[in-house]
Amino acid sequence: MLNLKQDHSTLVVLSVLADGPSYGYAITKAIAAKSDGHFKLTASGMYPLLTKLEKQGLVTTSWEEVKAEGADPDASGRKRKWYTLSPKGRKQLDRHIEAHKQMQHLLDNFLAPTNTTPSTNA
Amino acid sequence: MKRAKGINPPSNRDAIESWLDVLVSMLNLPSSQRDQVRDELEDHLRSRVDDLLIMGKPEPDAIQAAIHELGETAELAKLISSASRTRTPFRRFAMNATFFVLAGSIMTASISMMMPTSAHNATNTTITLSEEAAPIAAAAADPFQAFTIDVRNATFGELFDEIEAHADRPLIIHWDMLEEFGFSSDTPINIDSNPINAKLVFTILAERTEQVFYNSMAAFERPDRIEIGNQDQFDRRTTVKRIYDLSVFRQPSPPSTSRSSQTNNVFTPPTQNTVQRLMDLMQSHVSSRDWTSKGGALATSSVLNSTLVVTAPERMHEDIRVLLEELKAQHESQQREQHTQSREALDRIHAEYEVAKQKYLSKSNDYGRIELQGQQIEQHMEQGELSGPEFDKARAELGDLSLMLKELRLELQEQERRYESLQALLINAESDLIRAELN
Repeated sequence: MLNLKQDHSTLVVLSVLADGPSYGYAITKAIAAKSDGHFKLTASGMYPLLTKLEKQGLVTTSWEEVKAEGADPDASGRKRKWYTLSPKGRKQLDRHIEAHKQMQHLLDNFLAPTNTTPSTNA
Repeated sequence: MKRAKGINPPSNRDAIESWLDVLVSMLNLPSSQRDQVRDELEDHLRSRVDDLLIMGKPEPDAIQAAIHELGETAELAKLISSASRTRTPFRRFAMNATFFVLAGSIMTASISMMMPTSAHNATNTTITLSEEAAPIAAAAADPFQAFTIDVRNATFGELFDEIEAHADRPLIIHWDMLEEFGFSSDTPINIDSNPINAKLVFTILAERTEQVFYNSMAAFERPDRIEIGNQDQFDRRTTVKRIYDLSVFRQPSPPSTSRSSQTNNVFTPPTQNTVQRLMDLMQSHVSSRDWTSKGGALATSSVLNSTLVVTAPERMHEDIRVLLEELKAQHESQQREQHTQSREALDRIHAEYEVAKQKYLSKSNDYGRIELQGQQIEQHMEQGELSGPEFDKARAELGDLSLMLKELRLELQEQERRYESLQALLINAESDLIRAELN
């Protein structure tokens, strides 16, 4: 299990929201599912991050009242906060992706096997 | 993402209520925000409990596990309180720089000094900003380079005092700008390091703020003062429209081949394709994320003929100017190379011209001499001064001379054409060179 660093957390959360609106607990599950359980974004990491993203205008939020199936229709349910990727958030995500690709490309240059063995003339 | 269904009613879960009561009591937020945090975390906990119940865990264990997973209550409350401040996103989030370290362990935030910067490398443009082209300061007078500081115990106020003590200009600290990062005079810098160079301290702080706030602490150097604040506000303050003349990136005209081309220009203006490529180059290499065409919000550019119009912060204009100067130097170097080649070609043409000219004059002399010889023979024959054998011999000589003369005439005409052609090329080449040198 790898704890996500903040830079990566932003990228991961925005990319989850790029698939559609979601809420806190579902986002943690989506991250775990997409990474086959290798990535973990804790609540103490995620909720401040979501708040930050909201303040920066990268996500918009809305509230929904959710009720259990078969629950009393007159009874109040619990509230769920939904997060939606904003156009600004989409641009930010694109920039993160581009930066990630550039970094990956650079690293690939180091990791790619190079044919540096000098040829020997017998 | 599909919205969840099958949520259990909040019954018999006093442990969750109790835990939420404790957490909310620790939140340093207005009551409306506390309620929202409570609602959101309650949804998280109950959703988690629902999942654990589905997996077969007994309810008390599921509740305990869900609460345990949220982490230490006081720390969570502190983080949420900091992040939830209303006016500016992270006013309190970073009010105490020690929080960066705390957040680093809890949020696993990547704000340590060892963290590599993202593709947007702010260090080149954030630390040293120059409003004018004049050199800011010699290395010895660079207030950021000139001393080391023990960052483990120093505050921002002490850092800036030290910088001011080493600076050759007054230092203006915009605490209102730094407040956005939660930095005040008595905020500890808190970088876990031995004493390090002040410039590195500033770089680390700029990177930290950039990563957390998408805005960075910045120094704005002017000839008469140094201002410290944040990049966004400096950028807004210095955003100006500038026009760049790209006509220097002209292309040489095709080589002159006739006299008529003497009236042509030696150079043609840069093509739209060239100008467009220059603009692309600029947007790729100067603060690439800030161009509106690339999703940024700071800078715009457009082209008209050989003119580039850019609206951007001063720091970007400075980078654009440097980039264009480098490109111009490269372009001129290529043109000098072409000029040298033209000069060599001109010398070759001139040599060929001289040879053709000598050949023409020589043949012309030969022609005149033989023509005169033929005329003398004809005169002798007409005057009956030649005997029978002499006459036959003279007539044969005259025939040979006539043939030779015919060949010489053709050869002379050929040399004359070549001479005139080379002369025209020579004139054009010299004319091109003169104008190229004038340009």
